[in-house]
Amino acid sequence: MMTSMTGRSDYTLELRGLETVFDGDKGAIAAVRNVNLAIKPGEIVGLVGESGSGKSVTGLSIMGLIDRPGRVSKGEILLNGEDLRKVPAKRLRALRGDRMAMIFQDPMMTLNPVLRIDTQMMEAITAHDPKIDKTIARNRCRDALGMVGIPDPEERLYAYPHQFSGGMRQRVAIAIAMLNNPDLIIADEPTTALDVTIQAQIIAEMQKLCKERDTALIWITHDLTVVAELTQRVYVMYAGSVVEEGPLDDILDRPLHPYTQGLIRSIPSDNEPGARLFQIPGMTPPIDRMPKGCRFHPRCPYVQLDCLNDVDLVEQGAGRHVRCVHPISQGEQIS
Amino acid sequence: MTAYLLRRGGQTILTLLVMSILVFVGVYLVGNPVDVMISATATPQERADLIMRMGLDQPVWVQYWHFLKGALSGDLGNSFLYNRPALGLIFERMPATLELAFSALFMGLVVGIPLGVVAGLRPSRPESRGIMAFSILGFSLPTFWVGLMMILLFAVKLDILPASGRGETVDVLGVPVSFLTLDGLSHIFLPALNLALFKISLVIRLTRAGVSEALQSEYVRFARAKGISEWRVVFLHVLKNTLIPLITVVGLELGALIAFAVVTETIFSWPGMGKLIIDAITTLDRPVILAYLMITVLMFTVINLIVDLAYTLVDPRVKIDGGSE
Ligand SMILES: Nc1ncnc2c1ncn2[C@@H]1O[C@H](COP(=O)(O)OP(=O)(O)O)[C@@H](O)[C@H]1O
Ligand code: SF4
Ligand SMILES: [Mg+2]
Repeated sequence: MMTSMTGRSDYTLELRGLETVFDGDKGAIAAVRNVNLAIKPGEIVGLVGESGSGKSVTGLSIMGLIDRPGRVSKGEILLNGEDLRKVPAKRLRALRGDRMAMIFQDPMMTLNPVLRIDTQMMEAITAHDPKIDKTIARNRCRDALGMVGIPDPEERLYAYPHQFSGGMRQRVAIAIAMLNNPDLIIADEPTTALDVTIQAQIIAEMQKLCKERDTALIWITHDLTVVAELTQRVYVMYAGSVVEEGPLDDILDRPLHPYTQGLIRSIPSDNEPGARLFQIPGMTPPIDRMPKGCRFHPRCPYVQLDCLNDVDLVEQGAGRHVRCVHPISQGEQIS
Repeated sequence: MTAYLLRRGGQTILTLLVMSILVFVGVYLVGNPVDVMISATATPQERADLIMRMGLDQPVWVQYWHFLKGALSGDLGNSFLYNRPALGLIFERMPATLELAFSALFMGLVVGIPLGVVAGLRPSRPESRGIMAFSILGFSLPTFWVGLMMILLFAVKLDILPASGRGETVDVLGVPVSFLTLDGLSHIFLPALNLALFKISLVIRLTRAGVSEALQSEYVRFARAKGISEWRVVFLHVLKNTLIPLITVVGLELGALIAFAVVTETIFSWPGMGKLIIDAITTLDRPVILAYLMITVLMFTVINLIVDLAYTLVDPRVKIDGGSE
């Protein structure tokens, strides 16, 4: 691990005890609680969990894009060592889109339908560099489109979003996110809405681009197979908290948390096509009806009485953390 | 584009034909214009002369045939009442009505859009609640009552604005307009506001709905993620999407404005087509009724054309010859 001379952090992004709540009639209800996460330059980490586990809220909290009635209520969000919760709004806006960028799930909805692609690209540059020469900025837009594999980029700058396919639109969104060469990109299920071939292409391209530019990438997904192709490290989220964290291979080989095990078991297997797919029984609870103690206990096959006490995320072996009183031991591993 | 224009033209001609037949038959069934016009003391001879002069002695289909022939050469016949070309009468009065309608439309947009944006951006703020309360009033109060109240307040009690007439006008391209002189402006203000009240309320609601929908959209979130100013998010990303439903309504409502102008014109003695057409209907002055309706149909066609063109300017997904892709 390198040590920074400037007093800046080794990490591109560090979350310390992040809590994001939504204010409602019943008071503030946490959608994300006590999330710790760290990512270095050039690293790709996965943020995995079923729908409703708080992945998007985590991503939006980092970007400062949580809208009322939501708000980040606790913790530190350190981007290159700078706490985004403490900086003035103006500074946050300067960082957003410049040092950190986000891509969203539905490529059909991400681009403004009534604005031309060049308008939507140029503004991402001029917002951070108002005096830039227009031709230079334009060339950068064109190059960014070419870089993500859009044919005839010069011409396509004049197109409108509806003239692109879903996959191409997501590429445009990626190009926009990368325009200012950010240190961090948060990709919130960007390939979920696309078909498998295009998904694989885009994943491969993102991987390459981030490696070349030393960009830290947080890839949010509910799909462990995507994570398996892409990341070195994963955070597994359930009901607003990280329940397991560690190197990808270790986690896939030997999950410690019963929830992670359930996620792995529900991956369709190539070896036994047609086999009945496993599903974790039950559903992610809504944020205003969280179970006491371990929030997974109503769905856990290993639940015991002491699971009703609060559980902390504890270190369990090299680089691994798990939030479970009875982590799965070697003998219980089933794959 | 050519196919589109041809189709639009064909539709308009068909509409004009059907409408003129209906008016002919309608007026024929309702009564004899001569009975309305001629004095009770006229001799049978005078009466017969008049009927002949107006061509009313012929079968209705012959009359219609004469009308059609005239119409093709741009002559819609003379008014029974004034014995002057009906078209000329309409054209004399039309500028006043159009000026009133467009002024009201302008007010509706200029007042309605900003208020709608405010209400959409911060729905729970007191000023937004005030705006919405105002729009409910604008919807529910009858136009004529509000008009009378306006006259009472501004013309009678405060005596700061005139209550009737067009005031001083200047000619623009041969058409007299009021809004370019201070006196004319003071005359048009109250009737235009009266007519605009409903539109302002409507535009407020549409804009507010559009703004709050756009604010929750993913493209606004993505725009914010780029770090662009909130000002640009609202006035470019949000507002341009909000304009789409507004254009539709403006197109539809312009027609309604011209029609409703009749009420406002009556209250404020505005010398527009309103009084002319009401008189024409009560006296069964068929050529004037026909001319009025034909001009109105043509006007609607032009408005629709402009609306369609405006669409293609704002919404790139709309193509002029085939609707949405
Ligand atoms: N604007 C909001 N208001 C209230 N609750 C919200 C809002 N956005 C998200 N939530 C809740 O927060 C939880 C986590 O949501 P999210 O982060 O979108 O899940 P994920 O992205 O993992 O599918 C969900 O229970 C969701 O209902
Ligand atoms: S703490 Fe208990 S209930 Fe929760 S996951 Fe572990 S074993 Fe299951
Ligand atoms: Mg999500």
